[in-house]
Amino acid sequence: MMKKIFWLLDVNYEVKNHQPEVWIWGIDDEGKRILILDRNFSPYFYLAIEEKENPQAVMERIQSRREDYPFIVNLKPVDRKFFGRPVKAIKVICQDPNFIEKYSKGLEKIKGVEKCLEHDIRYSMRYLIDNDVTPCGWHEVEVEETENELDIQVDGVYLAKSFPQSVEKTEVPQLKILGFSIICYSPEGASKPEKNPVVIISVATNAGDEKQFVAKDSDDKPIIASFIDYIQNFDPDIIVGYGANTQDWPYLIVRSRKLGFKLSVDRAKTEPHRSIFGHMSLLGRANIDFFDFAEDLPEVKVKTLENVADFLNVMKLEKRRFIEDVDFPKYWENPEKRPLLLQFSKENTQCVMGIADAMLDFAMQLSNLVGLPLDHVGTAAVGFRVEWFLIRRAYKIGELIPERVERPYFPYAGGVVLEPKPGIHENIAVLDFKAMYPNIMITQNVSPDTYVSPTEPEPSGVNVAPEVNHIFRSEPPGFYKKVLSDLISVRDEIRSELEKLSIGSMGYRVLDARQKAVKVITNASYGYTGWVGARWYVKPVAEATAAWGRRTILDTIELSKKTGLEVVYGDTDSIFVKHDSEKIKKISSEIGKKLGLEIKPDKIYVRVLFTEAKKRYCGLLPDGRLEIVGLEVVRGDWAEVAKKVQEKVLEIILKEQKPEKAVKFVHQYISDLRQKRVPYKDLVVWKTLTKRIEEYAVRAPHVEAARMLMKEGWDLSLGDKIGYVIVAGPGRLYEKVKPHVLASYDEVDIEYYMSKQVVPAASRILSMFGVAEDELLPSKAPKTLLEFMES
Amino acid sequence: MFKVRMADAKFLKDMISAISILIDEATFDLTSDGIKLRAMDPSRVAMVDFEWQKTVFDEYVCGEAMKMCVNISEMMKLLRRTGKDESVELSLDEKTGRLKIAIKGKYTRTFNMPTLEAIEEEVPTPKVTFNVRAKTTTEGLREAIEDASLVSDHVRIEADNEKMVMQATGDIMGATIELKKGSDALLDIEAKEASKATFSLSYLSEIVKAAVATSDIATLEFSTDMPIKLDFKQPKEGKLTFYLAPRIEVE
Repeated sequence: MMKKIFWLLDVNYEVKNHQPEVWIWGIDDEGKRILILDRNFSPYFYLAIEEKENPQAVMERIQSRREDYPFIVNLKPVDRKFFGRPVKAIKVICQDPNFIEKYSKGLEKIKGVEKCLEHDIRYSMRYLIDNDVTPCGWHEVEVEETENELDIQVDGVYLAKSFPQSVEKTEVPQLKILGFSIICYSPEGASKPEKNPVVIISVATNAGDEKQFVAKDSDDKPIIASFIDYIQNFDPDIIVGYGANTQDWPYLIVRSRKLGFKLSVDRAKTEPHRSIFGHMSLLGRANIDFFDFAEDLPEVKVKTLENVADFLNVMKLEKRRFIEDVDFPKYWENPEKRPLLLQFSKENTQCVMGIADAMLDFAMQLSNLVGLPLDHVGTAAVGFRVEWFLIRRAYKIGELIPERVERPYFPYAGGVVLEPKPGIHENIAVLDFKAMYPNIMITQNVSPDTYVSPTEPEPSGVNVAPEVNHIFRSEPPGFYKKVLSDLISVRDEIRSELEKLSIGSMGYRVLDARQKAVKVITNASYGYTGWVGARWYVKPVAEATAAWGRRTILDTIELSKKTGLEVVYGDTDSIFVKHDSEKIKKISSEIGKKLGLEIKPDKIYVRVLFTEAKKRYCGLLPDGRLEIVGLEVVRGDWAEVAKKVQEKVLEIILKEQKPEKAVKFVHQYISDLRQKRVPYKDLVVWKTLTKRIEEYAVRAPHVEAARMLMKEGWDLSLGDKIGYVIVAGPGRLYEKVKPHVLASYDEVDIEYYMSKQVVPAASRILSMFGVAEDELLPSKAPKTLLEFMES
Repeated sequence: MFKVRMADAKFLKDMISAISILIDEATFDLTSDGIKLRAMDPSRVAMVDFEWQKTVFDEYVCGEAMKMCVNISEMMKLLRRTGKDESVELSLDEKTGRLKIAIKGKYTRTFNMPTLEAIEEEVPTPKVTFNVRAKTTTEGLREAIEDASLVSDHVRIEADNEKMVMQATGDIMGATIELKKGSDALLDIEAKEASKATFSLSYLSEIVKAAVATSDIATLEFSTDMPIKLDFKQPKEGKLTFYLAPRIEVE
């Protein structure tokens, strides 16, 4: 018997002869890769018992039908809570986790059973929750070494003799990371793994190696084989890609099968398999697709690899020589151009590695905080991340986890948004409530378990939400209050810890990523309350929190006005006021006293421009950056040309306050547009398919473009971004659409881009300064000689 | 030092008048060879390129090369006072920076006016390959443009090897003016390819009206949607050329 200290990389389970076995993949404190098998943990679920029923009687009923449930090994009456109320329950211990789903359906029908609970918690997750084992965290466990019967690629296989205990240790072990990207070749149409080869596989590792596997002509068998060998030799702990879950892995798997071998790249020498969360799971390695994390970067609109890499300063767009998918064949077939394609592929992998470097710390901390394994946490939507965090907390306080129920979406009143005063405002401070909704939930004790429904007798000591009149017990502290208070105090602790560390040090990086993860989960909590897919969904919780939020902001506006602070705008949890530090100090201290909330200046705008519409404005920061909210430039349906023009117009207006100069700029831009000096890609409009193609009843431009692509053999699915341009010719807009990859610059309808994109986008701003739309059109603005003087 | 004399004051008056239609402040390049000016109007739609050799003057003295900037409409006010058979003398007092204008006829009057800070910016000529070259009488061109101005504020000029056609379309009325090769108005035309371009009539008519006093023959050069070059042949050693940017029509 010995003790092992290890860092948890991945977890899965196997069932042999109805006997479950948890596989814990880890790295020990000596840097050895280990697999620990734990056969000691029994799967179970709960039966909640009807209020007037006796658990013993229900248990006897189950016993009498024992032959129907051969894998039930034990029944135990337990006291638990459900939505804060005490309930009687029976813990059903079922030896084979794969029978839980089936058994729960049968047992639910037994007299006295109100419902089954926690039957929908996966066994490996159950193991992590109950033992408080966290992914990307250090643990100690008693083990015994055992035979590596299955020839698993690890330094040692062990049998667990105790459950793992977490140990205090923050550093991350030295991980081996491999990034890759592939290029497929199809002479025409989208490539299909059944017939088209993978011609380039670019690989890079954090050991500094870069390698390309390049097919000779169309023979990809040797390169896929070399790629597999390379992975097995390097033996990465983490494999990173971009779009790998949906594209690269499935393509490689199908392609390998077609070529007659298995893509055995994991530590058990089996193929990657699709997991319940939708990601590709590699036994013993964490496969991370950073496309899943791009969702967390709202600043990046079109979430392509190159755009994300640009945003994260991994590789700037200007430095890249971009090659469109449709052009791959041209480059591959031409020996002179092929090196460019190789370079492009190499850079794709470099981008992947760079993104991994920028985001992996955060991914690991998020995984550790919410308890989802590293390869799941990215794929899980934000609601699920919050929920898994809550599930762990619920277990600790004896709360049963509600089942997931399908509910229809319902709208409810959200935050207050004031009518802005259109025009330019100078020196504006934006006052933000620090975590307003989480703080409201804490101070008002808003929680699914503190909610008092109208049918219940009103207890003494309640908080009543304004407008909606929902009632919440003020004592004892609710589930959400406890969880959120902890999160907030943990973040405060981390931040004071951070102050002691030097920026850039290993400890700093880890803790900084940790506080970001905590912040993400804290701020997502209110959104979770209003998400109909939430297990703890209670409609009045969301409604009441929103109502208190509205009351808070309205009170703040009232108070500001009384103090003589001019309010120019307000949205949800922030107000925009004329900057006056004295008065701002005064109201923030008063709000602290009166509402128990913290409000502070988040930023100062030198100048801010409001349109007459809500949620659409642009501010100039002291460092010269523009912040654009909700305007065309950040919305869909518009081509880059419109965005660029609007952004530049805003910049001229806000920095120089010269509308006439902005008008001149627009004229010049239109002139460039007509002379085709504007890059073709800036004419592309990007839109996401939100339904399957067949479900679209209307003839929308992007749907038409998608149809054309599919005719050309492209595989499109829900969520794909479709890029199209408008080409010259008669007819309605949707009849003038062409996918950008199939159209050429010469076909483009320049007049459309001028009068329907550039001019309206500029006019949106300039009309506020008395510039009529037709003044922007060149017919009223003769060309100048200057245009003919440039070489 | 700079001092020049011209026996016929009208000659100077007409030229300054032609320049004044585009610019308010004119910066002249004065050298021992003669005087030059090249400038764009404030909206940068048109440009004037003017040059007189020293032989144009009856007396011409210019020491070292310099730039002289004057308010041209003020200068015009004074020159308008010149009459038949009067001569004019310009001299620059470099100490005071004032320009002396002496008009001599039945009697002599001497005005003085300030010079302004010269604009140092060099104006390049537009880089255009012209496909059409048409030679007209200045008077014939003026007539045609006046006709077009009756119905619209812009005119489309089209040309091939046979003819030049001006097409004006106004809100209510329209006009087509056809000038055939070899006619009294259109002396000659060469077109490498048929071309058409549209120009603002307010500029065009002002330019031609002012130039007609200085020149009998005009050479027009243009290409599709490119600037037009109007060169007005000068009786003595000099040149007066205008460039005008096209208007791009939007359907």
